[in-house]
Amino acid sequence: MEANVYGLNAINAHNGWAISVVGVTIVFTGLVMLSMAIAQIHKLLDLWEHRNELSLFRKKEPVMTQPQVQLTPGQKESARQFKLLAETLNEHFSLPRLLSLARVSGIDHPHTTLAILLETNIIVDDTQGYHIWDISQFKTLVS
Amino acid sequence: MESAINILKKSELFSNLAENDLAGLREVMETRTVQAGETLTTQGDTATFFFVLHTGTILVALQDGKSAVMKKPGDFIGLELLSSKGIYIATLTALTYCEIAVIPRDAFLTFIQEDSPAAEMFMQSWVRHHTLMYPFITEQNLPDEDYHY
Repeated sequence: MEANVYGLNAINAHNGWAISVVGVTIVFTGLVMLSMAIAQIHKLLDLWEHRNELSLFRKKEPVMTQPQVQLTPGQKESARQFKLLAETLNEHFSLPRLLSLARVSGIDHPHTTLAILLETNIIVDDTQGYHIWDISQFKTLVS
Repeated sequence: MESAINILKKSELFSNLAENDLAGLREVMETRTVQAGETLTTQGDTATFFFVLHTGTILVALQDGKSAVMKKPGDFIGLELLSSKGIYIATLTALTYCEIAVIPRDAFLTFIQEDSPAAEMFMQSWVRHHTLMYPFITEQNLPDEDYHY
C-alpha cells in the first residue's frame, strides 16, 4: 500500500526529512571547509614568496671552518720567549712594555712576532687598554 | 698599491662623505709604506699628519702603558691635528709591513673648515669610532676641544 503514498506523506514515510537534513549538513559542512581553506590561501602564497627565508628551503652553505694557523718552528720559539717575558709582567700587561722587553731581550723579529701573537689571539685585548695572555690558545698553537 | 683616496673611502670616517667633499684631499694625500718596527709618530711630537691604515698592523701606544692595535683597513689616527696643542698623544709603531694614506696637517684643517656638514659628519664618525676603539681613554687624554677652525 505504500506505493500509493504521495507528497509529504511519502517524505515522512521514507525518512525524507532526515535524509534531507543529513544532505544539507554534508553540503554546508563541505562549503564551510572549502571557504576556510580558501581563506588560508594567502598564507600559503606568503610562505611561497618568502620561501628563501625558511631554513627548510634554504640552501645549505658550506661550513667555513677557521683555518688553523700553523706557526713555523721559529715563530713558536719566539712565542715561547714572549710568554716568558709576559710572565714577568702583570696578568693584564702593557703591550708596548712587552714589545720593549722583547726588543732589549734580543728576540728575533719582535714586532712581527707580536703581530702574529695578536693575530692568533694568543694575546688578547682586555678592552681597558691592556692585554692578557690566552694560555689555552698558546698551548693549542705553540705547545 | 691602492690610491690614497680609495683607502680613505674605506674608512668609516670618510665613507659617508660625498665625492666632492673629498676632492680637496685628493691632491694632497699620499700613500706610504712602512716596514715592521718603524715608528710613524712619537707621543709628544708635533702632529703633522693624519693616518689611515690600508694594510698591516700598527701598535698605538698611549699613556700609562695602555695601547690599542690598528689592523682593519680604514682604521685611522691623528685627530690631535685639530687640538690647539697639536701634539700626538700616541706613539705609532708598525708591527708588520703597512700601507697607509697620510693627510698633511694644513690640508686636513682646510678640509674641516671648508664644509661644515661634512666636518660635522666627520666629527660624529670620529666620536663613534673613538668610543669603540679607545673606550679606556679618559676625557683628559683626549685632544682638547679648542680646535683650530
